[in-house]
Amino acid sequence: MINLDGKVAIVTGAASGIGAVTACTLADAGASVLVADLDAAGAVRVAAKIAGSGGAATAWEVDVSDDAAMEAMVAAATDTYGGLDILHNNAAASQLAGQDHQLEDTTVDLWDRTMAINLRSVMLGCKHAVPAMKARGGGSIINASSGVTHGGQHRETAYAVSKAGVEMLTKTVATQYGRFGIRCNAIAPGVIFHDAIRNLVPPADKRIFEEYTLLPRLGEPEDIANAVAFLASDLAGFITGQVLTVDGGLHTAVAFDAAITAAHSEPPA
Amino acid sequence: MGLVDGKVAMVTGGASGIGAATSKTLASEGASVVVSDLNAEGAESVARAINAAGGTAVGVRTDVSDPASVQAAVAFAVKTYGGLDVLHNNAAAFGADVIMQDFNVVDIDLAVWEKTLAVNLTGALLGCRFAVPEMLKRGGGSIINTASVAGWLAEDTRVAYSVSKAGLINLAKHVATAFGKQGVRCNAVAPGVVVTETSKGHMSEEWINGMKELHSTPRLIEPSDIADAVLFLASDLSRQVNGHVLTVDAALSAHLPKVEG
Ligand SMILES: NC(=O)c1ccc[n+]([C@@H]2O[C@H](COP(=O)([O-])OP(=O)(O)OC[C@H]3O[C@@H](n4cnc5c(N)ncnc54)[C@H](O)[C@@H]3O)[C@@H](O)[C@H]2O)c1
Ligand SMILES: NC(=O)c1ccc[n+]([C@@H]2O[C@H](COP(=O)([O-])OP(=O)(O)OC[C@H]3O[C@@H](n4cnc5c(N)ncnc54)[C@H](O)[C@@H]3O)[C@@H](O)[C@H]2O)c1
Repeated sequence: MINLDGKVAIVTGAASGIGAVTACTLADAGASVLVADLDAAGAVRVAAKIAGSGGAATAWEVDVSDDAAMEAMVAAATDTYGGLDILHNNAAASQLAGQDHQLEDTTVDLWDRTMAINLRSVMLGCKHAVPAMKARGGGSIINASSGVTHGGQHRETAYAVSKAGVEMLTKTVATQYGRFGIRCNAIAPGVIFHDAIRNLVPPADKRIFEEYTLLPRLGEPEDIANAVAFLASDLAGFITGQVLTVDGGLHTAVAFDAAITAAHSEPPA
Repeated sequence: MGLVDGKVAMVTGGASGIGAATSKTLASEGASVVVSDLNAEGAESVARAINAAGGTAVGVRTDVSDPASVQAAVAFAVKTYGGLDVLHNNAAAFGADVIMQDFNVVDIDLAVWEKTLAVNLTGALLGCRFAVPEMLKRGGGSIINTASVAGWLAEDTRVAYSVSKAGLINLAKHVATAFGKQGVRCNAVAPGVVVTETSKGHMSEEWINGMKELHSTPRLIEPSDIADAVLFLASDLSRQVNGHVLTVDAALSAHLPKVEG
């Protein structure tokens, strides 16, 4: 399996969903993990779970949009484990999604809060991780983007734009710090069903996702966690500046083409 | 435990460069590997090295541009190892008579264009054509096409090569779309400049140094870097990755050139 023995990792937004599973996967692969989240109690639960199965983890409360807090988070990893090799900038303001509408209904407050939690956070994570990684001769940063960047969105204006920013930031960090051995990539999940959202998705929407996903099943947090572990590991030693799409093909096929094909294959009324 | 334990893999163009590295990597992670190449001796020598290192492999002569030859190679894999789970469509016409004669649209000889597309692109179509039915019998599989950053970035020359690589990217998306629901994944890996024994022959020292400048990491890409990416795409770690182009180019295509001054 993927080997991260001796590496030190930070996962933000690690108290729930994809981040929680990724923290466990990185720990299983041998990394020591700082489990960082605004939800301190949740972070403690995930760290305890890792420790319970023999891994090394420490819970850390952080607001990823806060410069000083992000600097302290990186310092916590280097103080506790002696350095930093892997940063997974995963936290996002899922809690704001319900207020993120079409452009005409997008408030400045919602826009600014989304950008702070989804994009400023990634800039701050990279900014403070780079010196720590330089000190180790390199490292791997993995940013959470989303399949929404594949095309224009009808809703969630701020979220989509924040993720496009994450992708450009990823390429910029790769370009500026590759020479120091620091790789920076993003992962673009399609739709990932995990406990926090499983019951929030209406069955009709779930059926649409099932129809448009090219593989026989929907995505699970483990699918993203495995991709993060790969990008974190030396197996991906020459991959940098990339966006790895992990969506079962959700964004590969031309959607209207499927609709037209379906329309033509329907028996005449 | 290996990442591809128990899987059967076929690598085309497996006798040298990236294909040889992939064959070795897949074998060392537990796959039985059919090393397929026009260069039979080279394929067998890679297979021998794998077996000597404790892995399982066999070499087979294949001309990927010939349907009967590809069909026979897939049948040989199935007969030898009981099925097929992974296909790496990697062969490319890299002979000096082809790649060194691949110019711009005005100057290219049509025979060079046709040869390039026949091996690089039709070769992969044929691989998919004969591998997919075998993979469906196993409930799924993973196909990886070796594309290139040249598949979406143009040069002022090598039109046939770039167009073949663009085709390989869409071929991957097509197969992903057509057979994903039945469990067959198809992705592409897009290397930047990889220094291999063959490519060293075509590239001047000066050109290689220029390329080093354009890649963002401290060293140039080696065949094993691409092999590791193929390993990921072949393995179940990537089980939800389908129709994707995984670029392994040290950010060559991620940035604008830096001009001093
Ligand atoms: N689930 C999906 O379908 C999906 C699809 C595409 C992209 N993504 C991306 O993957 C990442 C994880 O998504 P998820 O579905 O696991 O989300 P989630 O809501 O389950 O987890 C997000 C975590 O971030 C934390 N967080 C929120 N604001 C924070 C702050 N200011 N500081 C620190 N932590 C904060 C939350 O407490 C939560 O634990 C996100 O970046 C998301 O945009 C998810
Ligand atoms: N080296 C690079 O910089 C680079 C960059 C991007 C993409 N690629 C791609 O990677 C792949 C492997 O390239 P490489 O650098 O290892 O080259 P290589 O020349 O070392 O290997 C190509 C192999 O394909 C075989 N081959 C040629 N014609 C064939 C045919 N008709 N049937 C079967 N096998 C045939 C050759 O015998 C050779 O063993 C190619 O698809 C190439 O386009 C290479």
